[in-house]
Amino acid sequence: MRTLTIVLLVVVSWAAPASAAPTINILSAASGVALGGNSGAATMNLGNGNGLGVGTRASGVYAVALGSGPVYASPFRVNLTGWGGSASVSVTAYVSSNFPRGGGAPPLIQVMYCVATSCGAAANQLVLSTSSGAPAALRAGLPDKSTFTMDMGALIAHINGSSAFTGTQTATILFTANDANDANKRDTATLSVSIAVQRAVQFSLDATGPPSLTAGATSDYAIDFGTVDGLGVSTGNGAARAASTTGALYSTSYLVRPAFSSMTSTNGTVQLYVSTNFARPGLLQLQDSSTGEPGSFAAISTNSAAASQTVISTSAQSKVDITRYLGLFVFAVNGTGAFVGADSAVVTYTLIVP
Amino acid sequence: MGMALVGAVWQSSRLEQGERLMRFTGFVMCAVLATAATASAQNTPKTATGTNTVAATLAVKATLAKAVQLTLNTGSGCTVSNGGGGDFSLDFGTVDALGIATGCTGAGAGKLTSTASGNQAVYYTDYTITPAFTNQGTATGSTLTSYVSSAFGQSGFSIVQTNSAPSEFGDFVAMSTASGSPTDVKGGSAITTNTPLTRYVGVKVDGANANVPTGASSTAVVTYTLTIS
Repeated sequence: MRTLTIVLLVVVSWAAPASAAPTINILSAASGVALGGNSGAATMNLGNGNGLGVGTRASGVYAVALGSGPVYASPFRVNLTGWGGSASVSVTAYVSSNFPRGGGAPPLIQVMYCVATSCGAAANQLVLSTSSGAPAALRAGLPDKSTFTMDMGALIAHINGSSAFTGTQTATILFTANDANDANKRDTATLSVSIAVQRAVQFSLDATGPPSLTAGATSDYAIDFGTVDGLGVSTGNGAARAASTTGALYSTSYLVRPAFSSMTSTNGTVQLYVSTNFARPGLLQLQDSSTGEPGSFAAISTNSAAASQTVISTSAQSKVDITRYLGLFVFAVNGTGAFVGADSAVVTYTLIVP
Repeated sequence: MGMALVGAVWQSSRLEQGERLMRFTGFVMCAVLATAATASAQNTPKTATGTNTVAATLAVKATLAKAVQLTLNTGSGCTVSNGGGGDFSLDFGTVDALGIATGCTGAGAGKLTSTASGNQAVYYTDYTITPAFTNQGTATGSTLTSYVSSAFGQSGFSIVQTNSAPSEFGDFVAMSTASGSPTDVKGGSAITTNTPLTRYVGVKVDGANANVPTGASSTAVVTYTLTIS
Protein backbone atom coordinates (compact mmCIF):
# COMPACT_ATOMS: atom_id res chain seq x y z
CA MET A 1 0.00 0.00 0.00
CA ARG A 2 1.18 3.14 -0.96
CA THR A 3 0.37 6.20 0.77
CA LEU A 4 0.24 9.45 -0.95
CA THR A 5 0.66 12.34 1.18
CA ILE A 6 -0.13 15.70 -0.17
CA VAL A 7 0.99 18.66 1.69
CA LEU A 8 -0.77 21.81 1.00
CA LEU A 9 1.34 24.68 1.76
CA VAL A 10 -0.58 27.76 2.16
CA VAL A 11 1.45 30.85 2.14
CA VAL A 12 -0.06 34.11 2.97
CA SER A 13 1.97 37.15 2.18
CA TRP A 14 1.06 40.54 3.65
CA ALA A 15 3.38 42.86 1.98
CA ALA A 16 3.85 46.38 3.18
CA PRO A 17 2.38 48.97 0.70
CA ALA A 18 4.90 50.30 -1.82
CA SER A 19 5.30 54.13 -1.95
CA ALA A 20 3.50 55.91 -4.92
CA ALA A 21 5.63 56.90 -7.89
CA PRO A 22 6.32 60.63 -8.27
CA THR A 23 3.92 61.97 -10.82
CA ILE A 24 3.23 65.23 -12.67
CA ASN A 25 -0.37 65.61 -13.77
CA ILE A 26 -1.83 67.98 -16.37
CA LEU A 27 -5.37 68.83 -15.39
CA SER A 28 -8.15 71.14 -16.51
CA ALA A 29 -8.68 74.47 -14.79
CA ALA A 30 -12.18 75.58 -13.97
CA SER A 31 -11.86 78.75 -16.05
CA GLY A 32 -10.14 77.12 -19.00
CA VAL A 33 -11.00 74.68 -21.71
CA ALA A 34 -11.75 71.11 -20.68
CA LEU A 35 -8.66 69.08 -21.40
CA GLY A 36 -8.89 65.77 -23.18
CA GLY A 37 -6.64 62.75 -23.00
CA ASN A 38 -5.34 61.92 -19.56
CA SER A 39 -3.34 63.63 -16.91
CA GLY A 40 -0.08 62.28 -18.30
CA ALA A 41 -0.87 63.02 -21.93
CA ALA A 42 -3.46 65.75 -22.01
CA THR A 43 -4.88 67.57 -24.99
CA MET A 44 -6.02 71.16 -25.22
CA ASN A 45 -8.26 72.22 -28.11
CA LEU A 46 -8.27 75.99 -28.43
CA GLY A 47 -10.90 75.96 -31.15
CA ASN A 48 -10.72 78.52 -33.93
CA GLY A 49 -8.24 81.35 -34.15
CA ASN A 50 -6.99 83.88 -36.65
CA GLY A 51 -4.31 86.47 -37.11
CA LEU A 52 -6.65 89.34 -36.29
CA GLY A 53 -7.93 87.94 -33.01
CA VAL A 54 -11.51 88.46 -34.13
CA GLY A 55 -14.51 86.20 -34.11
CA THR A 56 -15.94 83.95 -31.46
CA ARG A 57 -13.51 82.04 -29.29
CA ALA A 58 -14.03 78.66 -27.74
CA SER A 59 -15.27 78.56 -24.17
CA GLY A 60 -12.42 79.04 -21.74
CA VAL A 61 -10.12 80.58 -24.34
CA TYR A 62 -9.01 84.19 -24.17
CA ALA A 63 -7.02 86.28 -26.61
CA VAL A 64 -4.23 88.75 -25.99
CA ALA A 65 -3.04 91.04 -28.76
CA LEU A 66 0.68 91.10 -29.40
CA GLY A 67 2.45 93.09 -32.05
CA SER A 68 2.76 90.20 -34.43
CA GLY A 69 -0.68 88.75 -33.80
CA PRO A 70 -3.02 87.47 -31.15
CA VAL A 71 -2.32 84.78 -28.56
CA TYR A 72 -5.14 82.33 -28.00
CA ALA A 73 -4.65 80.69 -24.63
CA SER A 74 -6.31 78.85 -21.80
CA PRO A 75 -5.41 78.20 -18.18
CA PHE A 76 -4.81 74.67 -16.90
CA ARG A 77 -3.42 73.07 -13.73
CA VAL A 78 -0.18 71.24 -13.01
CA ASN A 79 -0.38 68.86 -10.08
CA LEU A 80 2.38 66.91 -8.27
CA THR A 81 1.74 63.69 -6.38
CA GLY A 82 3.89 60.96 -4.86
CA TRP A 83 7.01 63.03 -4.38
CA GLY A 84 7.38 62.46 -0.63
CA GLY A 85 7.63 64.82 2.22
CA SER A 86 11.10 66.13 1.47
CA ALA A 87 10.54 66.92 -2.16
CA SER A 88 11.57 70.16 -3.75
CA VAL A 89 10.28 69.83 -7.24
CA SER A 90 11.06 71.99 -10.22
CA VAL A 91 8.93 71.94 -13.34
CA THR A 92 10.18 72.79 -16.82
CA ALA A 93 8.60 72.61 -20.25
CA TYR A 94 9.53 72.89 -23.89
CA VAL A 95 7.91 72.26 -27.22
CA SER A 96 8.81 68.71 -28.05
CA SER A 97 6.80 68.71 -31.25
CA ASN A 98 6.18 72.09 -32.80
CA PHE A 99 3.26 73.31 -34.86
CA PRO A 100 3.75 72.23 -38.46
CA ARG A 101 3.86 75.92 -39.48
CA GLY A 102 5.83 76.86 -36.41
CA GLY A 103 9.16 77.08 -38.17
CA GLY A 104 10.63 79.86 -40.26
CA ALA A 105 11.65 83.32 -39.35
CA PRO A 106 9.51 84.75 -38.10
CA PRO A 107 7.40 81.75 -37.16
CA LEU A 108 3.83 81.85 -38.38
CA ILE A 109 2.53 80.22 -35.23
CA GLN A 110 4.22 79.70 -31.87
CA VAL A 111 3.51 78.00 -28.56
CA MET A 112 3.11 80.61 -25.85
CA TYR A 113 2.95 80.24 -22.10
CA CYS A 114 2.25 82.40 -19.11
CA VAL A 115 3.11 81.74 -15.48
CA ALA A 116 2.36 85.26 -14.25
CA THR A 117 -0.67 86.28 -12.27
CA SER A 118 -1.99 88.50 -15.02
CA CYS A 119 -1.86 86.59 -18.27
CA GLY A 120 -4.04 89.19 -19.96
CA ALA A 121 -0.99 91.44 -20.14
CA ALA A 122 0.87 91.01 -23.41
CA ALA A 123 4.21 91.21 -21.68
CA ASN A 124 3.40 88.11 -19.65
CA GLN A 125 2.84 85.97 -22.73
CA LEU A 126 6.16 84.27 -23.49
CA VAL A 127 7.38 82.12 -26.33
CA LEU A 128 7.95 78.59 -25.14
CA SER A 129 11.34 77.12 -25.89
CA THR A 130 11.58 74.50 -28.60
CA SER A 131 14.89 73.23 -27.25
CA SER A 132 15.06 70.21 -24.99
CA GLY A 133 18.38 71.50 -23.77
CA ALA A 134 16.95 74.82 -22.68
CA PRO A 135 13.44 74.28 -21.44
CA ALA A 136 11.48 77.04 -19.79
CA ALA A 137 11.62 76.95 -16.00
CA LEU A 138 8.03 77.15 -14.85
CA ARG A 139 8.25 76.61 -11.12
CA ALA A 140 10.84 75.43 -8.56
CA GLY A 141 10.89 74.37 -4.92
CA LEU A 142 7.47 72.82 -5.03
CA PRO A 143 6.52 70.35 -2.28
CA ASP A 144 4.62 67.17 -2.82
CA LYS A 145 0.93 67.54 -3.60
CA SER A 146 1.46 70.99 -5.07
CA THR A 147 -0.82 72.39 -7.69
CA PHE A 148 -0.27 75.51 -9.71
CA THR A 149 -2.16 77.09 -12.57
CA MET A 150 -0.54 78.40 -15.70
CA ASP A 151 -1.64 79.21 -19.22
CA MET A 152 -0.68 77.71 -22.54
CA GLY A 153 -1.64 78.90 -25.99
CA ALA A 154 -0.76 79.71 -29.54
CA LEU A 155 0.37 82.94 -31.17
CA ILE A 156 -1.03 83.23 -34.67
CA ALA A 157 0.95 85.69 -36.72
CA HIS A 158 -0.99 88.28 -38.71
CA ILE A 159 0.26 87.38 -42.14
CA ASN A 160 -0.93 87.28 -45.72
CA GLY A 161 0.59 86.19 -49.00
CA SER A 162 2.26 83.03 -50.12
CA SER A 163 3.15 81.90 -46.63
CA ALA A 164 -0.38 82.28 -45.30
CA PHE A 165 -2.06 79.11 -44.17
CA THR A 166 -5.24 77.82 -42.63
CA GLY A 167 -6.20 74.60 -40.88
CA THR A 168 -5.56 72.86 -37.63
CA GLN A 169 -2.14 73.07 -36.07
CA THR A 170 -1.02 70.89 -33.18
CA ALA A 171 2.05 71.14 -30.99
CA THR A 172 3.13 68.98 -28.05
CA ILE A 173 4.66 70.38 -24.92
CA LEU A 174 6.73 68.13 -22.69
CA PHE A 175 6.62 68.90 -18.98
CA THR A 176 9.35 67.53 -16.75
CA ALA A 177 9.34 67.46 -12.98
CA ASN A 178 12.54 66.84 -11.03
CA ASP A 179 13.08 66.56 -7.30
CA ALA A 180 16.07 68.62 -6.38
CA ASN A 181 16.50 66.48 -3.27
CA ASP A 182 16.32 63.14 -5.00
CA ALA A 183 17.75 62.66 -8.44
CA ASN A 184 15.85 59.43 -8.77
CA LYS A 185 12.51 61.17 -8.59
CA ARG A 186 11.53 62.46 -11.97
CA ASP A 187 8.41 62.38 -14.12
CA THR A 188 7.15 63.81 -17.38
CA ALA A 189 3.80 64.60 -18.92
CA THR A 190 2.68 66.03 -22.24
CA LEU A 191 0.11 68.53 -23.31
CA SER A 192 -0.91 68.69 -26.96
CA VAL A 193 -2.27 72.09 -27.97
CA SER A 194 -4.42 72.36 -31.09
CA ILE A 195 -5.90 75.38 -32.82
CA ALA A 196 -7.71 75.72 -36.12
CA VAL A 197 -6.32 78.71 -37.99
CA GLN A 198 -8.93 80.52 -40.06
CA ARG A 199 -8.99 83.37 -42.53
CA ALA A 200 -10.35 86.58 -41.11
CA VAL A 201 -11.44 89.94 -42.49
CA GLN A 202 -12.15 93.14 -40.67
CA PHE A 203 -13.44 96.53 -41.73
CA SER A 204 -14.08 99.74 -39.90
CA LEU A 205 -14.68 103.42 -40.51
CA ASP A 206 -13.46 106.24 -38.34
CA ALA A 207 -13.73 109.99 -38.53
CA THR A 208 -10.76 112.24 -39.03
CA GLY A 209 -12.73 115.45 -38.91
CA PRO A 210 -16.19 116.70 -38.23
CA PRO A 211 -18.90 115.55 -38.50
CA SER A 212 -18.46 112.65 -36.11
CA LEU A 213 -18.59 109.14 -37.49
CA THR A 214 -19.91 106.86 -34.81
CA ALA A 215 -21.50 103.50 -34.26
CA GLY A 216 -24.91 103.39 -35.85
CA ALA A 217 -28.19 102.41 -34.29
CA THR A 218 -29.53 100.44 -37.23
CA SER A 219 -26.34 100.39 -39.26
CA ASP A 220 -22.74 99.62 -38.40
CA TYR A 221 -21.69 103.26 -38.56
CA ALA A 222 -23.44 106.59 -38.81
CA ILE A 223 -22.62 110.13 -39.76
CA ASP A 224 -24.90 113.13 -39.39
CA PHE A 225 -24.21 116.17 -41.53
CA GLY A 226 -26.73 118.08 -39.47
CA THR A 227 -28.42 121.01 -41.13
CA VAL A 228 -27.48 121.58 -44.75
CA ASP A 229 -28.74 123.67 -47.62
CA GLY A 230 -28.07 124.25 -51.27
CA LEU A 231 -26.22 127.49 -50.67
CA GLY A 232 -23.73 126.06 -48.20
CA VAL A 233 -24.87 128.50 -45.56
CA SER A 234 -25.72 125.94 -42.89
CA THR A 235 -22.71 124.51 -41.11
CA GLY A 236 -23.34 120.83 -41.77
CA ASN A 237 -22.02 119.85 -38.34
CA GLY A 238 -18.61 121.23 -39.21
CA ALA A 239 -18.20 119.63 -42.62
CA ALA A 240 -16.17 121.40 -45.27
CA ARG A 241 -18.41 123.43 -47.57
CA ALA A 242 -18.09 124.45 -51.18
CA ALA A 243 -20.88 126.21 -53.01
CA SER A 244 -21.45 126.17 -56.74
CA THR A 245 -24.14 127.38 -59.07
CA THR A 246 -26.04 124.13 -58.76
CA GLY A 247 -25.75 123.56 -55.04
CA ALA A 248 -23.40 123.04 -52.14
CA LEU A 249 -21.04 120.20 -51.35
CA TYR A 250 -20.60 119.27 -47.72
CA SER A 251 -17.66 116.94 -47.25
CA THR A 252 -15.53 115.32 -44.63
CA SER A 253 -12.50 113.08 -44.51
CA TYR A 254 -12.60 109.73 -42.81
CA LEU A 255 -10.56 106.59 -42.44
CA VAL A 256 -11.29 103.33 -44.20
CA ARG A 257 -9.60 100.59 -42.21
CA PRO A 258 -9.29 97.20 -43.86
CA ALA A 259 -7.58 94.28 -42.18
CA PHE A 260 -7.28 90.64 -43.10
CA SER A 261 -5.23 87.61 -42.20
CA SER A 262 -4.30 84.20 -43.56
CA MET A 263 -5.12 85.32 -47.09
CA THR A 264 -3.00 84.28 -50.01
CA SER A 265 -3.33 87.78 -51.45
CA THR A 266 -1.81 90.82 -49.81
CA ASN A 267 -4.23 93.15 -51.58
CA GLY A 268 -7.91 93.57 -51.03
CA THR A 269 -10.62 95.50 -52.82
CA VAL A 270 -12.73 98.06 -50.99
CA GLN A 271 -15.85 99.25 -52.74
CA LEU A 272 -19.07 100.93 -51.81
CA TYR A 273 -22.48 101.78 -53.11
CA VAL A 274 -25.56 103.55 -51.89
CA SER A 275 -27.71 100.65 -50.77
CA THR A 276 -30.54 102.89 -49.60
CA ASN A 277 -30.76 106.23 -51.27
CA PHE A 278 -32.19 109.41 -49.87
CA ALA A 279 -35.92 109.74 -50.12
CA ARG A 280 -35.26 112.90 -52.12
CA PRO A 281 -32.41 112.12 -54.47
CA GLY A 282 -33.17 115.29 -56.36
CA LEU A 283 -32.04 117.27 -53.35
CA LEU A 284 -29.29 115.15 -51.82
CA GLN A 285 -26.57 113.04 -53.39
CA LEU A 286 -23.69 111.14 -51.80
CA GLN A 287 -20.30 111.59 -53.41
CA ASP A 288 -16.84 110.15 -52.97
CA SER A 289 -13.34 111.49 -53.46
CA SER A 290 -9.84 110.23 -52.90
CA THR A 291 -8.36 113.68 -52.42
CA GLY A 292 -11.11 115.94 -51.20
CA GLU A 293 -10.02 118.51 -53.76
CA PRO A 294 -12.70 120.62 -55.47
CA GLY A 295 -13.90 118.87 -58.58
CA SER A 296 -12.64 115.48 -57.43
CA PHE A 297 -15.94 114.29 -56.01
CA ALA A 298 -18.09 111.90 -57.97
CA ALA A 299 -21.48 110.43 -57.19
CA ILE A 300 -21.32 107.13 -55.36
CA SER A 301 -22.83 104.29 -57.33
CA THR A 302 -26.33 103.25 -56.45
CA ASN A 303 -25.86 99.93 -58.21
CA SER A 304 -25.21 96.95 -55.98
CA ALA A 305 -23.66 94.88 -58.75
CA ALA A 306 -20.06 94.32 -57.79
CA ALA A 307 -18.77 95.52 -61.13
CA SER A 308 -20.77 98.72 -60.88
CA GLN A 309 -19.91 99.81 -57.38
CA THR A 310 -17.64 102.72 -56.62
CA VAL A 311 -14.14 101.40 -55.95
CA ILE A 312 -12.02 102.91 -53.22
CA SER A 313 -9.04 100.65 -53.74
CA THR A 314 -8.07 97.42 -55.42
CA SER A 315 -4.80 97.28 -53.54
CA ALA A 316 -5.90 97.81 -50.00
CA GLN A 317 -3.36 96.33 -47.61
CA SER A 318 -4.15 94.84 -44.27
CA LYS A 319 -3.98 97.27 -41.39
CA VAL A 320 -3.12 100.19 -43.67
CA ASP A 321 -5.65 102.99 -43.31
CA ILE A 322 -7.04 104.73 -46.36
CA THR A 323 -8.04 108.36 -46.04
CA ARG A 324 -11.17 108.98 -48.02
CA TYR A 325 -13.64 111.81 -48.44
CA LEU A 326 -17.39 111.53 -48.22
CA GLY A 327 -19.37 114.26 -49.89
CA LEU A 328 -22.98 115.24 -49.50
CA PHE A 329 -24.11 117.37 -52.38
CA VAL A 330 -27.18 119.48 -51.69
CA PHE A 331 -28.88 120.68 -54.82
CA ALA A 332 -30.10 124.27 -54.80
CA VAL A 333 -33.74 123.78 -55.59
CA ASN A 334 -36.70 126.08 -55.17
CA GLY A 335 -40.34 125.68 -56.01
CA THR A 336 -42.29 122.48 -55.85
CA GLY A 337 -39.19 120.33 -55.34
CA ALA A 338 -38.21 122.10 -52.16
CA PHE A 339 -38.24 120.17 -48.93
CA VAL A 340 -37.38 121.02 -45.36
CA GLY A 341 -36.61 118.21 -42.96
CA ALA A 342 -34.45 115.17 -42.32
CA ASP A 343 -33.45 112.58 -44.86
CA SER A 344 -31.07 109.64 -44.69
CA ALA A 345 -29.27 107.15 -46.86
CA VAL A 346 -27.21 104.03 -46.29
CA VAL A 347 -23.87 103.26 -47.89
CA THR A 348 -22.63 99.69 -47.93
CA TYR A 349 -18.89 99.12 -47.94
CA THR A 350 -17.41 95.77 -48.88
CA LEU A 351 -13.91 94.46 -48.39
CA ILE A 352 -13.04 91.50 -50.55
CA VAL A 353 -9.69 89.77 -50.41
CA PRO A 354 -9.21 87.41 -53.32
CA MET B 1 -43.77 133.61 -45.42
CA GLY B 2 -40.21 132.92 -46.37
CA MET B 3 -37.01 133.69 -44.62
CA ALA B 4 -35.79 137.20 -44.28
CA LEU B 5 -32.21 138.22 -44.61
CA VAL B 6 -30.96 141.45 -43.21
CA GLY B 7 -27.95 143.42 -44.29
CA ALA B 8 -26.56 146.79 -43.47
CA VAL B 9 -24.44 149.49 -45.02
CA TRP B 10 -22.77 152.33 -43.33
CA GLN B 11 -21.03 155.35 -44.59
CA SER B 12 -18.57 157.71 -43.07
CA SER B 13 -17.25 161.09 -44.06
CA ARG B 14 -14.65 163.52 -42.92
CA LEU B 15 -14.75 167.19 -43.78
CA GLU B 16 -11.42 168.91 -43.94
CA GLN B 17 -11.01 172.34 -45.48
CA GLY B 18 -14.07 171.87 -47.63
CA GLU B 19 -13.23 168.30 -48.54
CA ARG B 20 -15.30 165.41 -47.32
CA LEU B 21 -14.14 161.85 -46.95
CA MET B 22 -16.81 159.26 -46.99
CA ARG B 23 -16.84 155.57 -46.34
CA PHE B 24 -19.65 153.28 -47.33
CA THR B 25 -19.76 149.86 -45.79
CA GLY B 26 -22.25 147.07 -46.03
CA PHE B 27 -22.76 143.64 -44.68
CA VAL B 28 -24.94 140.68 -45.15
CA MET B 29 -25.91 138.59 -42.22
CA CYS B 30 -26.87 135.07 -43.05
CA ALA B 31 -29.04 132.87 -40.92
CA VAL B 32 -26.72 130.09 -39.86
CA LEU B 33 -27.28 127.11 -37.67
CA ALA B 34 -24.01 126.33 -35.94
CA THR B 35 -23.39 122.93 -34.49
CA ALA B 36 -20.10 121.99 -32.95
CA ALA B 37 -18.62 118.71 -34.08
CA THR B 38 -16.35 116.48 -32.15
CA ALA B 39 -14.04 113.74 -33.28
CA SER B 40 -15.31 110.33 -32.45
CA ALA B 41 -13.48 107.54 -30.71
CA GLN B 42 -12.34 104.55 -32.70
CA ASN B 43 -15.29 102.54 -33.81
CA THR B 44 -15.82 98.83 -33.36
CA PRO B 45 -14.72 96.95 -36.48
CA LYS B 46 -16.99 94.69 -38.43
CA THR B 47 -15.41 91.25 -38.66
CA ALA B 48 -15.87 87.86 -40.24
CA THR B 49 -13.90 84.64 -40.03
CA GLY B 50 -13.52 81.71 -42.35
CA THR B 51 -14.30 83.93 -45.32
CA ASN B 52 -12.72 86.58 -47.51
CA THR B 53 -15.46 89.19 -47.48
CA VAL B 54 -16.87 91.55 -44.93
CA ALA B 55 -19.44 94.29 -45.42
CA ALA B 56 -20.32 97.27 -43.27
CA THR B 57 -23.03 99.87 -43.54
CA LEU B 58 -22.83 103.59 -42.99
CA ALA B 59 -25.99 105.58 -42.38
CA VAL B 60 -25.76 109.15 -43.61
CA LYS B 61 -28.23 111.65 -42.26
CA ALA B 62 -28.84 115.27 -43.07
CA THR B 63 -31.51 117.80 -42.39
CA LEU B 64 -32.44 120.04 -45.26
CA ALA B 65 -33.07 123.65 -44.42
CA LYS B 66 -34.19 126.71 -46.26
CA ALA B 67 -31.46 129.23 -46.83
CA VAL B 68 -31.20 132.76 -48.10
CA GLN B 69 -28.14 134.78 -48.94
CA LEU B 70 -27.47 138.31 -50.00
CA THR B 71 -24.18 139.52 -51.39
CA LEU B 72 -22.97 142.96 -52.34
CA ASN B 73 -20.24 143.21 -54.93
CA THR B 74 -18.39 145.82 -56.88
CA GLY B 75 -20.06 146.86 -60.08
CA SER B 76 -17.99 148.94 -62.47
CA GLY B 77 -17.51 151.79 -60.05
CA CYS B 78 -16.29 152.09 -56.52
CA THR B 79 -14.99 149.04 -54.78
CA VAL B 80 -17.27 147.09 -52.49
CA SER B 81 -15.15 145.11 -50.11
CA ASN B 82 -15.76 142.41 -47.56
CA GLY B 83 -15.48 143.48 -43.98
CA GLY B 84 -14.39 146.96 -43.11
CA GLY B 85 -16.47 147.07 -39.99
CA GLY B 86 -19.44 145.25 -41.48
CA ASP B 87 -19.95 142.49 -43.94
CA PHE B 88 -19.23 144.82 -46.81
CA SER B 89 -17.81 148.29 -47.07
CA LEU B 90 -17.75 151.02 -49.65
CA ASP B 91 -15.64 154.14 -49.28
CA PHE B 92 -16.65 157.17 -51.32
CA GLY B 93 -13.49 158.98 -50.34
CA THR B 94 -13.48 162.74 -50.15
CA VAL B 95 -16.62 164.53 -51.23
CA ASP B 96 -17.96 168.04 -51.22
CA ALA B 97 -21.16 169.86 -52.05
CA LEU B 98 -19.75 171.47 -55.16
CA GLY B 99 -18.70 168.19 -56.67
CA ILE B 100 -15.10 169.29 -56.83
CA ALA B 101 -13.55 166.36 -54.99
CA THR B 102 -12.99 163.27 -57.07
CA GLY B 103 -14.71 160.80 -54.78
CA CYS B 104 -14.17 157.17 -55.54
CA THR B 105 -13.66 156.34 -59.17
CA GLY B 106 -14.58 153.78 -61.79
CA ALA B 107 -16.72 153.59 -64.86
CA GLY B 108 -19.81 153.05 -62.81
CA ALA B 109 -19.07 155.85 -60.37
CA GLY B 110 -19.75 159.52 -60.79
CA LYS B 111 -20.99 162.71 -59.26
CA LEU B 112 -23.95 164.90 -60.08
CA THR B 113 -24.58 168.40 -58.79
CA SER B 114 -27.53 170.69 -58.36
CA THR B 115 -27.97 174.32 -57.38
CA ALA B 116 -31.72 174.21 -57.23
CA SER B 117 -31.66 174.27 -53.45
CA GLY B 118 -28.23 175.59 -52.80
CA ASN B 119 -25.10 173.70 -53.61
CA GLN B 120 -25.71 169.98 -53.54
CA ALA B 121 -23.86 167.02 -54.97
CA VAL B 122 -24.43 163.31 -55.19
CA TYR B 123 -21.41 161.05 -55.30
CA TYR B 124 -22.60 157.67 -56.48
CA THR B 125 -21.54 154.30 -57.69
CA ASP B 126 -23.11 151.25 -59.12
CA TYR B 127 -22.89 147.93 -57.30
CA THR B 128 -24.42 144.54 -57.60
CA ILE B 129 -26.67 142.92 -55.09
CA THR B 130 -27.10 139.19 -55.54
CA PRO B 131 -29.94 137.41 -53.82
CA ALA B 132 -29.70 133.66 -53.48
CA PHE B 133 -32.06 131.22 -51.90
CA THR B 134 -32.76 127.54 -51.83
CA ASN B 135 -35.39 125.13 -50.65
CA GLN B 136 -38.00 127.84 -50.84
CA GLY B 137 -41.47 127.10 -51.99
CA THR B 138 -41.19 129.65 -54.75
CA ALA B 139 -38.59 130.06 -57.42
CA THR B 140 -39.06 133.80 -57.69
CA GLY B 141 -39.53 136.09 -54.92
CA SER B 142 -40.52 138.48 -53.20
CA THR B 143 -39.08 141.66 -51.78
CA LEU B 144 -35.71 143.30 -51.62
CA THR B 145 -35.56 146.48 -49.61
CA SER B 146 -33.14 148.75 -47.86
CA TYR B 147 -33.23 151.49 -45.31
CA VAL B 148 -30.75 153.63 -43.49
CA SER B 149 -30.55 151.98 -40.12
CA SER B 150 -27.91 154.36 -38.84
CA ALA B 151 -27.66 157.82 -40.34
CA PHE B 152 -24.56 159.93 -40.77
CA GLY B 153 -23.39 161.92 -37.84
CA GLN B 154 -22.36 164.67 -40.18
CA SER B 155 -25.18 167.04 -40.93
CA GLY B 156 -25.77 167.56 -44.66
CA PHE B 157 -24.94 163.96 -45.52
CA SER B 158 -27.60 161.49 -46.57
CA ILE B 159 -27.92 158.23 -48.47
CA VAL B 160 -29.64 158.28 -51.83
CA GLN B 161 -30.28 155.51 -54.31
CA THR B 162 -31.82 154.55 -57.60
CA ASN B 163 -32.63 151.23 -59.21
CA SER B 164 -31.65 152.36 -62.69
CA ALA B 165 -28.65 154.11 -64.14
CA PRO B 166 -28.75 157.77 -63.17
CA SER B 167 -28.28 160.55 -65.66
CA GLU B 168 -29.07 163.56 -63.58
CA PHE B 169 -29.11 164.71 -59.99
CA GLY B 170 -32.83 164.26 -59.67
CA ASP B 171 -32.68 160.57 -60.53
CA PHE B 172 -31.62 159.82 -57.00
CA VAL B 173 -34.12 159.58 -54.20
CA ALA B 174 -33.47 159.56 -50.52
CA MET B 175 -33.24 156.14 -49.01
CA SER B 176 -35.81 155.50 -46.32
CA THR B 177 -34.70 155.78 -42.75
CA ALA B 178 -37.70 153.85 -41.45
CA SER B 179 -37.43 150.10 -41.03
CA GLY B 180 -41.19 149.80 -41.31
CA SER B 181 -41.30 151.42 -44.72
CA PRO B 182 -38.01 150.61 -46.40
CA THR B 183 -36.99 151.60 -49.90
CA ASP B 184 -37.67 149.09 -52.63
CA VAL B 185 -34.47 147.82 -54.22
CA LYS B 186 -36.11 145.18 -56.36
CA GLY B 187 -37.66 147.65 -58.76
CA GLY B 188 -38.99 146.05 -61.86
CA SER B 189 -36.55 143.15 -61.69
CA ALA B 190 -37.48 139.62 -60.88
CA ILE B 191 -35.67 138.24 -57.89
CA THR B 192 -34.09 135.08 -59.15
CA THR B 193 -31.58 133.12 -57.13
CA ASN B 194 -27.98 133.83 -58.01
CA THR B 195 -28.93 136.57 -60.45
CA PRO B 196 -27.16 139.81 -59.61
CA LEU B 197 -29.01 143.08 -59.79
CA THR B 198 -27.21 146.32 -60.56
CA ARG B 199 -28.21 149.16 -58.33
CA TYR B 200 -26.91 152.64 -57.54
CA VAL B 201 -26.21 154.18 -54.20
CA GLY B 202 -24.89 157.62 -53.45
CA VAL B 203 -24.03 160.11 -50.82
CA LYS B 204 -25.84 163.36 -51.12
CA VAL B 205 -23.91 166.34 -49.80
CA ASP B 206 -25.90 169.42 -48.91
CA GLY B 207 -23.74 172.54 -48.87
CA ALA B 208 -26.02 174.62 -46.75
CA ASN B 209 -24.07 176.78 -44.38
CA ALA B 210 -25.75 175.14 -41.44
CA ASN B 211 -24.00 171.92 -42.29
CA VAL B 212 -20.65 172.69 -40.83
CA PRO B 213 -18.06 170.03 -41.58
CA THR B 214 -16.74 168.40 -38.48
CA GLY B 215 -13.52 167.34 -40.13
CA ALA B 216 -14.07 163.75 -39.07
CA SER B 217 -15.22 160.85 -41.14
CA SER B 218 -18.82 159.87 -40.84
CA THR B 219 -20.53 156.59 -41.30
CA ALA B 220 -24.02 155.46 -42.14
CA VAL B 221 -25.43 151.99 -42.07
CA VAL B 222 -27.90 150.64 -44.56
CA THR B 223 -29.84 147.47 -43.89
CA TYR B 224 -30.91 145.34 -46.82
CA THR B 225 -33.65 142.80 -46.42
CA LEU B 226 -34.46 139.95 -48.78
CA THR B 227 -37.69 138.13 -48.21
CA ILE B 228 -38.77 135.06 -50.12
CA SER B 229 -42.37 134.17 -49.71
